[in-house]
Amino acid sequence: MFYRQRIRSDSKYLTDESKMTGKGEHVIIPVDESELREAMRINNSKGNPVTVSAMRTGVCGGCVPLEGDVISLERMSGVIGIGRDDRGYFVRVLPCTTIEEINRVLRTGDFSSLTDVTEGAGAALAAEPVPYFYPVDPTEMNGSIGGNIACNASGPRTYRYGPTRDWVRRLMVVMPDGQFVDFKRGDYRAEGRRMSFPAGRSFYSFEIPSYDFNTDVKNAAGPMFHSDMDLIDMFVGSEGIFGIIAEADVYIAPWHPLVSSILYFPTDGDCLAAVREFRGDDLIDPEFLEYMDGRSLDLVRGVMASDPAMIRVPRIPDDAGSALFFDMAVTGDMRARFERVGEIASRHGSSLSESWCADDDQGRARMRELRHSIPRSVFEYVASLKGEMPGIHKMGTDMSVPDDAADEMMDYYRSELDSAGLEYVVFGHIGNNHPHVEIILKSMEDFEKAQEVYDRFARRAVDLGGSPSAEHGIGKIKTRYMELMYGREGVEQIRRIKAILDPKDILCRGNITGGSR
Amino acid sequence: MRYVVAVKQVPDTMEMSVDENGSLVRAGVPSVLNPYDEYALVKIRGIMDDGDELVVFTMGPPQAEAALRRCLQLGADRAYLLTDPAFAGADVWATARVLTAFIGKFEPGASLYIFGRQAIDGDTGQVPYEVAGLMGVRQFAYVDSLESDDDGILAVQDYGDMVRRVRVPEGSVVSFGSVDPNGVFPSIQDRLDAESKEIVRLDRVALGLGLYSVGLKGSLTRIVSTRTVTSARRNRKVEIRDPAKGAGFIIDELEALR
Repeated sequence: MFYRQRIRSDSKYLTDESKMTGKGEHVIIPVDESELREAMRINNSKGNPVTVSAMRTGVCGGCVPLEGDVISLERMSGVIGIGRDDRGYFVRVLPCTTIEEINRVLRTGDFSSLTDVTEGAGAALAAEPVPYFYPVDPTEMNGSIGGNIACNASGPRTYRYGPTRDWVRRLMVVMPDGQFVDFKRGDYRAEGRRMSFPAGRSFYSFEIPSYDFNTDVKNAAGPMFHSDMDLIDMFVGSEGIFGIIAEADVYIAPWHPLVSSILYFPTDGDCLAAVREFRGDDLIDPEFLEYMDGRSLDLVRGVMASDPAMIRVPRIPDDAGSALFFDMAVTGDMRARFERVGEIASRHGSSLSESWCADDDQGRARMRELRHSIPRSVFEYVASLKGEMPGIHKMGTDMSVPDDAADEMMDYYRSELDSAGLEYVVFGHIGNNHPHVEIILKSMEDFEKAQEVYDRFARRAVDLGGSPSAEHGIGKIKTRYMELMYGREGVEQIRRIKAILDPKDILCRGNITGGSR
Repeated sequence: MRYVVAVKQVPDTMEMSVDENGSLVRAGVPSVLNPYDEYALVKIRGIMDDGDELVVFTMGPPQAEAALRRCLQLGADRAYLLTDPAFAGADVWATARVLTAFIGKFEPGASLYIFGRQAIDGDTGQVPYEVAGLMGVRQFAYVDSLESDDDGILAVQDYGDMVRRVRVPEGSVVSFGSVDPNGVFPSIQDRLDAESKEIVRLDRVALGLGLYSVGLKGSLTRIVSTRTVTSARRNRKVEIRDPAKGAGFIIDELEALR
């Protein structure tokens, strides 16, 4: 038995933060893995499509159903265990556990109610001199771990810690027919390009696609494939098309004190020039580099007057024309490191006096709130247009390029958008050459123009050796860029694997490959 | 001019929750500089000229040094931490006595003695006026801003239904009545400058106070019992044009009602 109810046309289950809207019949809400398997078994026997949903914080429509039912994992939530292996500590989590919740549990330091996955792990972690945390920071801390794994999410701290993929130890995956595979990294590896693994009574064996996944840049464009690959890497980033993550083990890292700073610059060019120097400086050694251009700051200035969430964020200086947000681990040579920051700032029209600095958790959270308010404001703006323009959705880039192409890509963004007469803001993970360009749409005409410009951006990013989807995944909105990355044959090869794992094509239709086989 | 500002480290009430018994959960709640005091400090810094000096002090446990460090980052020049196990459990009277003893012995003759209206944890809002009483100086409550001219300092007091400008004699006690909901951040330069500024620790003996004039032993208040009371509904009209400030005002009012 499991909860199943008809979806109303205005249901939250029909959209996500992209503001794309879909269609669905029922929402099924399993409370555990057995209910999830039963729901899949029944839907599979009927050939009824299901789309997997959790916190719906994705921005590519991955959880938005096109037809059939939604399986919402919202009641499969919580940290349930702690373990330790050769690499270090890990937590065992249910799929809808938020990143915030994982870190909250780790902050308490009391793990007595959690299961010891390995003997004495909870007590050993509690006795550690420093608290631990889950280091992948997808900016949206209320996103689910299952969703993060499904799209190989990353964020500001990818600069230091890498993407979600690097932190996944084990997965329990429910297959479309309700059987499951429970495995750790290293349990199943491809032999060359042939992947084989059992799931319940089934045994799957297939050729993996011939393309090699680009790991030179931040990349969340579909599942990873390469010779001798680990099975875990096929499910990470597969956005639910091969199976549903019902439980996961993710590694955690020791937390260290941080100081957050925002440095203000007179112009966008000054800030970007400073970024180039920051990136190559071993002494400053930032945890991440986040950029906010002048238009973003203007957007926030407007939002601050009306958004209660911004009540604790100080007003941005009137003369600030752009900003660089960065964290540094607290070390014994902070003065020397800050002085180096000051030297770079002074070469680009700024100084240490034109900055904000916070050592305390509250102050650091306020700075994050400021940064996060930029995409949130854009989401809310797009949502406000849905009444007049139902077909509209957010148009924000998520493209990364190699270091030597960063300037060229930024110039290309600006020249294309300016010549198209579109309004936009640029912000985000400049440390990874991965700024987000959010196009501020005013009309359906803008939307169509923006789609054309966006396609050109994606093509240029791929030409420069980058990815059209660095951290958000592909979902349903970016499927056409899969062919850009991997060619028609590459996408067909993914479809062939799906046909083996999901013969009735019921799972997460429309994600990654753009629809049914 | 020399300004002396009294501050307090308080639990961050934005982070506090209530357990199933209705008791405040303080465990794990971070400490912050009392927002009323931070507002007062920033306001004073705003009227200071070159050569003026800003001194801060607090009574509290050793960890209250973090609040003083923040004050130094926000522009204070020197800081004193009045800390002694004997100070624990002080009511407003015993607190005022310690603060007054400190002022008399270590910072007499300042231009103004500045307070925030109240601490957001205790909310008694009496300490500034008791200090003024003990010092024998005039006190100015609900101050919104200060101005200086050739004849000295003017205070703008905002009583909610009335605003008045008054001249403030040297050595008076001034308490600011507001908070800035948006707060401030120090700059990196402020943070570096504060590293070389000193925090002086003073205990009961240094202040010349006896055991029975401080802390719980020196407190006149005895809490016999506490209970929740319901009060008659009161209406008040305030006009705030800035939505952020308006929301901040509502939060402050709600916190004051806790």
